[in-house]
Amino acid sequence: MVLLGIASSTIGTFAFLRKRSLTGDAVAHSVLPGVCLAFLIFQTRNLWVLLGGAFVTGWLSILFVDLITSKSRIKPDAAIGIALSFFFAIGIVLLTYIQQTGLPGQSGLNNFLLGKAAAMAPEDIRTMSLVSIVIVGTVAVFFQPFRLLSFDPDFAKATGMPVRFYETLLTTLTVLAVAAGIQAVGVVLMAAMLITPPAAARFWTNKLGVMILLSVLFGVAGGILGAYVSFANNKMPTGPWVVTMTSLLVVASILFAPGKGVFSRWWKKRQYRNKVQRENLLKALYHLEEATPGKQWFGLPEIMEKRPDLSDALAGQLRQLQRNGMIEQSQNKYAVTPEGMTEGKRIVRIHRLWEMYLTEKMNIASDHVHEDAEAIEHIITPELEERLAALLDYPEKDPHNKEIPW
Amino acid sequence: MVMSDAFWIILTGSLVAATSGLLGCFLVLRKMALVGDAISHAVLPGIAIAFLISGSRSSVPMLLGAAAFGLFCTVLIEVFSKRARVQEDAAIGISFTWLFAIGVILITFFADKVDLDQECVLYGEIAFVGFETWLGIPVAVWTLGVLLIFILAMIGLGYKGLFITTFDPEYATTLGISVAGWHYLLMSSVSVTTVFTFESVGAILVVAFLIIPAATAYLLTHKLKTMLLLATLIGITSSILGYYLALWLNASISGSMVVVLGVLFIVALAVSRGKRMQISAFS
Amino acid sequence: MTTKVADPVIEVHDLTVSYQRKPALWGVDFSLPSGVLAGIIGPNGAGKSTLIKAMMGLVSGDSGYVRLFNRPIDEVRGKVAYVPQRGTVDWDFPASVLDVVLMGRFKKRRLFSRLSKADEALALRCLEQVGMEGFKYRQISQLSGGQQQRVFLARALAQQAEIYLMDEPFAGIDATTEQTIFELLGKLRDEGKTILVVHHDLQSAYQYFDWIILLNTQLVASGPRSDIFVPDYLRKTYGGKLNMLTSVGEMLAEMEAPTREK
Repeated sequence: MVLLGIASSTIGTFAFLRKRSLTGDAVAHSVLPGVCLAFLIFQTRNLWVLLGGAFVTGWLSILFVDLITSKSRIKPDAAIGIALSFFFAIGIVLLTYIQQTGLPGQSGLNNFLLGKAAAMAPEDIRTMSLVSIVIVGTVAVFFQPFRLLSFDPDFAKATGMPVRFYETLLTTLTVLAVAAGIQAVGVVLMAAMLITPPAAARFWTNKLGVMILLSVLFGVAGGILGAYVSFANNKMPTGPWVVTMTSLLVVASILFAPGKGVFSRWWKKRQYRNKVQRENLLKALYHLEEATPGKQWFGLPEIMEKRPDLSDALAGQLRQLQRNGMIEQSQNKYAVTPEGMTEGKRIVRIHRLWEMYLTEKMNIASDHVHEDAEAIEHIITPELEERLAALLDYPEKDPHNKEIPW
Repeated sequence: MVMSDAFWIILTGSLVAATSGLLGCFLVLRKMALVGDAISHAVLPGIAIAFLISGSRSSVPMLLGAAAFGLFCTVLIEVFSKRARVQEDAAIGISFTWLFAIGVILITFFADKVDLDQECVLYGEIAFVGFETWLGIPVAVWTLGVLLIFILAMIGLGYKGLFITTFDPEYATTLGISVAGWHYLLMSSVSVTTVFTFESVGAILVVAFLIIPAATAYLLTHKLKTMLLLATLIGITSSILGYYLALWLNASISGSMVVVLGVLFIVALAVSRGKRMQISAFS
Repeated sequence: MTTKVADPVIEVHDLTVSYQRKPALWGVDFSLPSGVLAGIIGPNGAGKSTLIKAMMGLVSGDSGYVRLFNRPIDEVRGKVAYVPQRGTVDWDFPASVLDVVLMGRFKKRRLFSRLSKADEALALRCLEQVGMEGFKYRQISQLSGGQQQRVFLARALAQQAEIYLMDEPFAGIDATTEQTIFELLGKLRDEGKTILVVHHDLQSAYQYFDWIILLNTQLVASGPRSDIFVPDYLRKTYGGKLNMLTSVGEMLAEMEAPTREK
């Protein structure tokens, strides 16, 4: 299971990046007739022979998909569907045909349908190890060209790279991984071994090398977890549990991955909202101060009147501002520190500069710019502010004729 | 009047093929063939649960409940691809393999209570269609017949809606037509059809009946109505020929029907190629 | 510069639309009187298509509103026809020219009833207007680019609308089709319809349109063509990138921040 996890997650990463995930599904269904044919012709259950057969029909199905899409109006999705169900049906017919011939040794063949990891013999495992080593080794050797091919095939072609050769090599490795894994997890679920780990890995990184490592890690983790469940409960099939566990890893990645994860995005949004609230609060205090110069102490009602929308968050944000040294408190009254004054001034300045920019440079009516500036004032960095100011030639008044504080 | 097994098997196969073929035309034209594939796998846990609760195979309300899993799969695909921003092919792959895996787990876990073996899951039991009858006609023929009438009625009444939302969904929106509504109507129909045809042809081969007749018809005509008709006829033909192929080989009937479908497709591919070459030779 | 119209048929007010937090349109404001043939002109990526999609309610805005006949679009869909870009549909679809034009007669409430003879006669008249009457049973997969465009136009005509919004109808078509379409638009305008066309070519714009809207994420200018075709505005639209706006847009996308506080 672990070996399979390594091999399929590695090669699956490339299929994923090339948006060919479902080709793996077509190949998985298409190895069945190959296995049956090999068995019929050579009358042996030797894994090498069956693998050979699987490899041939797996490849044929890919050629079939290419043929359909290049020679007719049929779109790739339908072509994949046709190939997988047609090849699978041939497999089913052959399988049922074999079952009634009474040939010896045929009993294990239907393991290829739903997979039976537990039924694998030691030499099967040796075979799989070899296949895994070949796959990982080839990927290691050809890592650079494979990477280029996955990210930018047009550029790869333009550089004179033998694109066709590398594509064929990648496809061959995919077919090999599927052929090797099919006995363990079965036709349908093999696709998951290729698709699911890379999909989970994609949430954690943008680097291909890291993505492959993570993908392998998820594939192996899913394999071990799934195998554990099925061993602990001997009625349980291994393959489906492996897939379920790996899928749960995808869900976990969607929720918790830093950057792209749901939780992380929610956290970022919350942080941003807090920052906006604090900045709005400082701005309100600045405005209060601006109205009557000189350091002053303001009570909660006064502040709330200025920013009624903040009343729920007011206490918390005031505490946070106090911790940051922006304001000070004395007997339920608040005053802005010099640092807070500078910060409040900066926000008001950006607000008015942006209004200026919108009216001057973007022909937006001056009665429309306030809302926009309310949002943008929290976005603009000091560098952008400097550029903005220079662009507007350091104006003194905003479009509403209010002073821009420098 | 006693009909032979052969007749009932061919009739059942034809009903399955006709119903799926009609819906398949819209799936192929919407470039959603693989969503059809995904739905057909994803209903497995629903079927397992339905059997577990009702203890029988032909409880219609239960099976309709099972079809909800097919819809759930399309929603899951959408959540993965739109909300979690997983690319679409991978979203499809993850969703259906996961649901299928859960289905297999349920069937194995409740093996003593759920009378569904893995073989049936994979290639159906069309050969035994004559075992359960009502008024001398197999139950499967009754249910599939009613289903076909429903699907025909839906396509007949909703032809314009399906047509416009398939061809140009953006334009349909500008006319105030609910694209999402028609999408889910079609997806529900595919789910229900998958569940009801599952017993005859198995989870994996359903997709063949959905896609291959439609794709074959698509190669042969430029008219939507003709395409629908051709897909139905191709499905029925494959059902007849497939039965005798299976008889001859003594192999899986539903598998043989799909093999015939595949061969018909290849013939159509060659014919349409030939025609196109002729045209280009003249012009 | 934006020419304000006293009794506008189309009014776009402070419209901001963003894709994945990155603004494609920023605070766009303009209005159009009835009976004009107007062109939306701007460089690639200026948000021209986004603007008419937002007007048709196909994409939703972060702020602002669009009013047609002083109503939101959902209340007046029957009076507004949309011509999408040719490339947005699959022309291999099994349908005939007439099938496509008849779509213009589909209505939300009448979706389940049959189309009448009158509908068909109207569709044929529309095909005649675009010079495609001889192609009514032709399969759409066998049409040239210009013919596809004319079919789309006929479909919009079949809607018998008051406002026509068209996305790049002049892109990649032959000279004859260009002339046909241009004459047809002029005729519609003379009948009092209002036509708004997304157009990428500055050269032909002056000749084609009597009202011009210059757009580059923000609205540069909108008004009668002679007021708008001045070097200053054109430079603002085409010359140089709006660095500030682009930077701020990127910053918004990066921080996943909204373009409005609420």
